[in-house]
Amino acid sequence: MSAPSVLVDAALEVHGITKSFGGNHVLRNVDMSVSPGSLHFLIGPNGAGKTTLFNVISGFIRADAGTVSLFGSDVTGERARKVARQGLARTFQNLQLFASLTVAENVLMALHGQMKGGLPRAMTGLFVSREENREYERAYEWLDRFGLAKYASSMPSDLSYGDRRLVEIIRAFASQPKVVLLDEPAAGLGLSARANLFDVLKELHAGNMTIVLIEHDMKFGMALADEVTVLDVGTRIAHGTPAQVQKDDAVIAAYLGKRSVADA
Amino acid sequence: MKSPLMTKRRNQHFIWLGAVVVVAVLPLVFGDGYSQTVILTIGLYAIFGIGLQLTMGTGGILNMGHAAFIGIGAYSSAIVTTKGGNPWVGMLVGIVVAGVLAFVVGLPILRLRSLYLAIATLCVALAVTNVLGFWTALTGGQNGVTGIVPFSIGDFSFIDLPSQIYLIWGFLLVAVLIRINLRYSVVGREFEAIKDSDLATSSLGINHGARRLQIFVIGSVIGAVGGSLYATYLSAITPDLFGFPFLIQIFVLVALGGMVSLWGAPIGAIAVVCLHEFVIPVISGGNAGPVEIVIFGVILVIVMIFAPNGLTDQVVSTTRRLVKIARRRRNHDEPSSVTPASKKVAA
Ligand SMILES: Nc1ncnc2c1ncn2[C@@H]1O[C@H](COP(=O)(O)OP(=O)(O)OP(=O)(O)O)[C@@H](O)[C@H]1O
Ligand SMILES: [Mg+2]
Repeated sequence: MSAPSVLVDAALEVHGITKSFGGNHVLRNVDMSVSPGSLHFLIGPNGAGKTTLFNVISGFIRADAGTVSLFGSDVTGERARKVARQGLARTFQNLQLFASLTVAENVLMALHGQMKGGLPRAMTGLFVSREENREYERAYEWLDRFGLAKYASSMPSDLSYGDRRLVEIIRAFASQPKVVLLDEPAAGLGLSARANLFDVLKELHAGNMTIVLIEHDMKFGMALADEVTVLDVGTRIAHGTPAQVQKDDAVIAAYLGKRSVADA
Repeated sequence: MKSPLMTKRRNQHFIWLGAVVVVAVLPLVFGDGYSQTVILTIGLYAIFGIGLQLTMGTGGILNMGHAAFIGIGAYSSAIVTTKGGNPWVGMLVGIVVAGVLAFVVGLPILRLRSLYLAIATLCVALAVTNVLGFWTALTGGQNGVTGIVPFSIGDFSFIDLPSQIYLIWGFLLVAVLIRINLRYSVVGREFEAIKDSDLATSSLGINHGARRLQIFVIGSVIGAVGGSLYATYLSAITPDLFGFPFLIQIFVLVALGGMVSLWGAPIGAIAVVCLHEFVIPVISGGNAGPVEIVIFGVILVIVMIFAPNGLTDQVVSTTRRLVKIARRRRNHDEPSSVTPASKKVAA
C-alpha cells in the first residue's frame, strides 16, 4: 500500500449519506467519521437507519447521495465484494453463518482472499493441500484464541446461539480487515454470553482494530466506546465522546421515557 | 494439530483405490455382451450425471440445457471423425465448443434466478437441438451421422466392449476425482458457502458471478466429454437422442443419486440404467418408450417434493440426524445405570 499524500485522519469517513426507499427517507445527509483504531458506537432507536447505514458503507445498497471512504480511498457505490476487498468486514443483524460448512471452515472462508483459489489447482488437487492446511491452522488458532477450538469440526447448528455469534465475529476479524462493522452482536445473548462477548470485543479492540458497533445495550457499548454517533429517524442528532453524548439534550429526547441514555 | 482437511483427503485415497480395482475387474466378472453393455451405459450416464450435478448441485443453477451440451460433444466427435479427423481431436473440439458456448450463454443468463434461469437454459437446449436437426449440411439433419470412428491410442483401438468400458470408466473416475477435488478445495468451499449465504460471501469479497460461470462451463464440458464417448460407442447418432426424454433421464439420475453427494452420479446412473433395462420393460409390456417417460416424470416429481436434494443425500442426512439424536439420548441416559426400555425404543 502506498501511503496517500494527504494525511488521512479517518479510518472510515461517511459524508452526506442520503437514502430513501420509495417515499420513506431512511437516511438524511448523515456524516460519520471513525478514527483509526477506535471503537465507534452507532446508536439510535429502532428504525433509525443504523443497519441501512452499514449496508450503504459495505456496498450492499447504494446511497442516493453522499460518499464513503476507507482510509482515504473512495469506495462510494462500489459493490459489496469490492468494498470487502478494500478491507471492510462486517457481521449481520441476523446471523449469516455457512450452515453446511464446519465452524473452522466458516472462519477459513475469511482467509480465502489470501489463498490461491485458481480453478485448475482446485480441479487437479495439486499444490493446494499444504497451503490449505496452513490456512486451516490459522483459522483454528483464531477459534482457539476465543475458546472455540473444541468446536472446530462441529457444524454451526451444534453451537449455542452465543457461540454462533462469536464465530461470525471471529470470521469477520480473521480476514484481517482495516475496519469491522458489527451489527447488534449482543442481541439475543444471555448474560454470560454477553460478558464473554464483551471481553472478546475488548481484546479485539485492544489489538488496534477499527470497529463500528451497533448495539441496543447502552451500558455494553458505552463501556467499550471511544466515540459515539447517534441517529434518529435517519438524521445524525449527536456525536462525540460517550460522556458528551450521554448528557446531550437531543439524545435524551430521542430516548424519551428513559431518564438518561446510560439507563436505556 | 492434525487438520481435518488433510484427514478427509486421506480417507478418500482409500475409497479411490477401491474404485479403480472395482472398475478393473468389472468386465472380467461380467463376461457376456449384454452385462457389459449395461456396465458401459452406467459409466456413460454417470459422466452425464456428474456434469449436471456440478451445475445444479454445486452451482445451484437449475440447468435444463445439459442434454444439449452432451449433444454438442457427441456431434463434434461425429463430425470430426467422419470427415477423417482423429477422435481425440473430435473430443477436444467438443470440449472447446461446449466450453465457449457455456461461457457466452452463461455470461448473460446466469444473472437470472431459479425458474427464469431454467427457461433460459431450456431455450439454449432447444436452439442447439434445432441446429443439430436442421443444419443438414453439417449434421446430417434428422438422419444424423453414421460411421463415427472409435478412440484409439497408437495401434490399439477401443472397439470391443471391455476396452470401451475401461475407456469410459476411466474418464468417469477422472470426473469423480475432479468433483472430489473441487469439493475439498478453496473453490468448492466457496460454492457451498454461496448456497448458504450470499450476503456473507459477498461481505468476504467472494465473486459469485464468476464462480457460477466457472461451474457452468466445467459441468457443460464434462457433459460434452460424455457425449463424445457416447457417440463413439454408438458409432451412429441422431439429434433426437439428445432431446427432452434424455434430459429427463439425467434429471432422474441426479434426483436419485443426490444433487451434491460425491458418489451420487454413479449411484444414480446404476438406478436409472437398471430401471430402464430391467424394470420398465417388465411394467410396460413392450411399449417402453412412452411408459418410461411417464414413470421417470413421476419419480422426478416425487423425489423433488420429498427429497429436493436427491434421494441419496436425503437418506444420508436423515441417517446422520437419527444417529446424532440417538447418541445424544445415550449420553443423556448414561448417568442412570438402568435405562427404561421404553426410552431406548424412542431413541
Ligand atoms: N431494503 C429496504 N427497503 C425498504 N425499506 C427499508 C429497507 N431497509 C430498511 N428499510 C426501512 O428503513 C428504516 C430503517 O431501517 P434500519 O434497519 O436501517 O433501522 P435500524 O436502525 O437498524 O433499526 P433496528 O434497531 O431495529 O435494527 C426502517 O423503517 C425500515 O423499514
Ligand atoms: Mg438494524
